Amino acid sequence: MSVTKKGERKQNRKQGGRYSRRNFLSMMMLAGGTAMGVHALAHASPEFNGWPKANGMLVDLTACVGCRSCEKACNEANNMPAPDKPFDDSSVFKEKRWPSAKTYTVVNAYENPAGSSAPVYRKIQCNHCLEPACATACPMHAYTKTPEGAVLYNENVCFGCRYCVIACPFNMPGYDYDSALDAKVVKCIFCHGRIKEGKLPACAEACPAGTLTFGKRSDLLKLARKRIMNNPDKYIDHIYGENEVGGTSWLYLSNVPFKNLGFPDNLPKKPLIELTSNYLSSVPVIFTTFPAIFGMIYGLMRGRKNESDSENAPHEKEVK
Amino acid sequence: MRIYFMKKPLFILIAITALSLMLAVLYGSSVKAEVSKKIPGTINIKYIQKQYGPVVFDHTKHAAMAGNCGKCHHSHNEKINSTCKECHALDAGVFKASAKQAFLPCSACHSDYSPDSPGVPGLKVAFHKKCFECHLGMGELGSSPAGCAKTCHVKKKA
Repeated sequence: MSVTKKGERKQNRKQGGRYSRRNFLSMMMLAGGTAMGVHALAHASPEFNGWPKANGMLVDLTACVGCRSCEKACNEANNMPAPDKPFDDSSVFKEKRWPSAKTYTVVNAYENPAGSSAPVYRKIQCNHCLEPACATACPMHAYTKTPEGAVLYNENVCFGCRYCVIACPFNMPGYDYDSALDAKVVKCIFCHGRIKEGKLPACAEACPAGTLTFGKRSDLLKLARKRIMNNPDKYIDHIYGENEVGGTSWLYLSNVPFKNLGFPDNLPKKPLIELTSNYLSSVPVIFTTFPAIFGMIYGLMRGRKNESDSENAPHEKEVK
Repeated sequence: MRIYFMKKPLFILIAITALSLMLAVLYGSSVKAEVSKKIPGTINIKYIQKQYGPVVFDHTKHAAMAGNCGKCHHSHNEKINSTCKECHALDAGVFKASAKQAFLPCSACHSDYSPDSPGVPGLKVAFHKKCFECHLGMGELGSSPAGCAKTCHVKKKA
């Protein structure tokens, strides 16, 4: 580096050139302001109460008689493989089953604390959250919350990270491990095709006991409240799924505490995405502003170092 | 097209006559339902069978045990978890007939379930709900899926 060039740069800096303190401070303020602005946007995201006119299912657990008609209908409607035990076999109630690659839904029997000899039955399937954690966790957007209500999974884009399996508060997306090469998530699809055709979900159509009521979620909430109001001694004053993790399309009424039936009872009322959205929304801000900020600091420091180098040891470089 | 050329008062007169005729026919049908106060006896419930054979239902026996038709059928005297509005909003004419103690068949109001009125169960659910009120717990009903075929239904031959 020649002496004249060095001199020019020194001169530049004194005149308030590219790396002046004033410029640096103003850049910092700009970056900080942008970061805060984006953060404020993330906070201001409006509350989502589900798609208008979205469908739902009201499950009145007090009505279920454990006939397993829903399991059978689901199996037939979705062309699932034949079950290990026939659908009129009650021995399946001895264990707590879970939806698997072979079935979207199962009915389990739980002890009835009310002293009744008949057990309390609970149908288990995807609850089709209004703001599904599986969809927000998925890096490939394999999950879609449809305006009709169903949370659908697209196996063609899934690359098998299993984030959805961990994210789901209800433990629903199960991986089909039966096929090592073509592994995919198998979960209830809320009979999306049938609903679009104007039919009822297969389970709701099959249910003889009036346990499953399909309809608009808003109507079902009203119906559930009415049932609780008309039978305050029968029902627990809680519609499970109304507020859990921001609300689910499937709603439940029960006469025994939901905890006793294996429902998770420690879920927040807000959608799970709100636990991470503030943090995640700051990631792009950090990725864009931090390199700029630290780049500027680095530039300043390097400039100062060069400056002090040239002042302290001018001869070393000139030897070259 | 001749109506178009008719004088206005004449047209109104014809319209009123037609309307009153229609109303008379409607009223007549409801009166007919009212008259059939006799208990239907043993019936074959076969409207909705799919998996199982029809259920043979002895109306007389059940009516004698229940002691009151209103135990199963909606009526003004026996409100079955329903408010006035619930039924009257549906079809006042039909309900009026049943209110006069002429109990209509369940299928008069309960047909295929419609998600537009989730408060009205479909015919299948309406039937089962009533049966379960007493029959749940009998035999294996309520404790095993096999109970359906053992207690009330006959499994259809495949």
